[in-house]
Amino acid sequence: MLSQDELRARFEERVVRAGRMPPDPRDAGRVGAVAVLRDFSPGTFARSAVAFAREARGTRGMRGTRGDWAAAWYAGFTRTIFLAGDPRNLLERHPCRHLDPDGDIAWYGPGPLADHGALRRLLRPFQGPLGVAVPFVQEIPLDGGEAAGSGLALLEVSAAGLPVEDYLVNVNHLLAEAVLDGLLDGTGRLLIRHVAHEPDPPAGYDRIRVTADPRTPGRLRAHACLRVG
Amino acid sequence: MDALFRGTCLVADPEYHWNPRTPNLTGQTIQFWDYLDRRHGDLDYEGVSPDDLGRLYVRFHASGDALPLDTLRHYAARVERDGWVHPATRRMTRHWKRHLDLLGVRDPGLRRDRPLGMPADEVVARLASLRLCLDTRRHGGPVYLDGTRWGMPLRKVIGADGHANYLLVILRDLLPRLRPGRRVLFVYDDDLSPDYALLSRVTGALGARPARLPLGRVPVGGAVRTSRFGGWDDVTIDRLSELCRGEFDAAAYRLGMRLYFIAMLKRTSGEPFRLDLLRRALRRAEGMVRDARRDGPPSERAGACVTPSGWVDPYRLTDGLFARRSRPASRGLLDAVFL
Repeated sequence: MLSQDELRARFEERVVRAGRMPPDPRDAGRVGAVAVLRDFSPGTFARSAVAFAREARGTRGMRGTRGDWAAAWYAGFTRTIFLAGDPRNLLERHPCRHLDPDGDIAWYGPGPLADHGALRRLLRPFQGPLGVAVPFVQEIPLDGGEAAGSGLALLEVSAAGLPVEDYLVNVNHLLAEAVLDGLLDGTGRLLIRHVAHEPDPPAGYDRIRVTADPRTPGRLRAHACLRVG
Repeated sequence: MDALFRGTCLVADPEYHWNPRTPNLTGQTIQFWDYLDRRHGDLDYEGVSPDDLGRLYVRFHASGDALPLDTLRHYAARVERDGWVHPATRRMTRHWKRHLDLLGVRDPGLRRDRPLGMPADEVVARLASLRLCLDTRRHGGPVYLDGTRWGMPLRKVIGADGHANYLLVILRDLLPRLRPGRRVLFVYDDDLSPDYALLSRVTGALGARPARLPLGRVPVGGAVRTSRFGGWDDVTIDRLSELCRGEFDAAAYRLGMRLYFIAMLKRTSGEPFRLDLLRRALRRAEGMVRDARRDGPPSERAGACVTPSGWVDPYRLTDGLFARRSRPASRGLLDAVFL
């Protein structure tokens, strides 16, 4: 298991990365994304989270373009709201930014969350208290135009006892920020592994998702890690 | 409801659909039964007055002493298995039946047990295949009725605790009866309008032709409230019936109650309950019954009040009686619809 000092260092790295992002171009209040899920499976979710982040990244740096919103999203720690809903029933009234090819997940934003007030009133937070399968292994192809390549990345999630809603939050932050940082450029495949334990120190992870440990106040814990190449 | 149904019977062949299992499977009924069994297990309900039962209901809601529904599955299981009814509800139903008889209201089948038409899982599967249901039970989440294509919010019908609410129970009875083009009229408490608007859309998506009739609650003591809050002691059907029948005969009581609640308070019941106006309606009814004359067939009058959705509007039909001050009421119409 990683030491508390190491976890703290990883946690602070993330804060620094987010702090380097240019602020929200229009001072539009809280910036975030919304994901609507009809169903959840780890492979579909990871694939669509990466594809959405790649789309959102778009042409970063040009003012007034979607890239500005991607930067503001990053500056706001890629805040994302996960709702239960059927994307195909929403297409007409609430067209999304990205729709997973299976039609199970739709993504909105990133942008001012206030833009999605009507959508959020229509739907309910995704609840999955039964959690996800542990152990679990699956390799999936990542699509995303130029950013995809032949490289393989490993996503390892400490998933024992983790409700689906928490899984979504942890994995999405990890993948979205890796995409926005360019860390997944050239990566076309993702190996997903769910494990019962927390990640081991020598594994050489490129990114670790660290949060306050809900079970022990004052402690940090690692939920998921990403190794690229 | 009774005037609506009997009026419509004069021009069509409607089915009045009532299933005692529907209210008996709701969370609030089951939790009340459990409360009674835990707190008043030794009560002989046959000897308890309806008013006292009502007071127990008020006390139950005020106490907050309701157990989670996933610990009370055995009640729902008994209702599903053989239509079991708690003795408190049996007592209350017998009381209502007596009052329906006094009012001349046709019994819609208060005590006629009937299994629901379709199992819950089949309803969910059928609606989910049409994307009208969102089922997250695989992950331990709820089942929602999905009207988002019409801009209606997801509506939970099975909780994460596995309890199916009244909407799903209604759908279990409704779905097997729907045929393409069949007309369905939903009559409901106005407070439940969003739920019935959604039911109506789902019914339409399944090929039937839905219509809706929301009814307002009559304000009592300056407020529109449900029975669980109490404050109804002076306006129970026992009390009203006793007051009216002490002064008027059976026919005047039946017609007068209908004139008051249908024609005077109207569908939305914007005005609070007033005993003096009820008494005036009964006096009017007494005269109408006395002076009524046989004239044309009642179906003619009912036919003039058919709505575009095919049911006879009880408000127009009753207003028609009132408006004919100079002419006597039709005996045939009174017998067919109002007495």
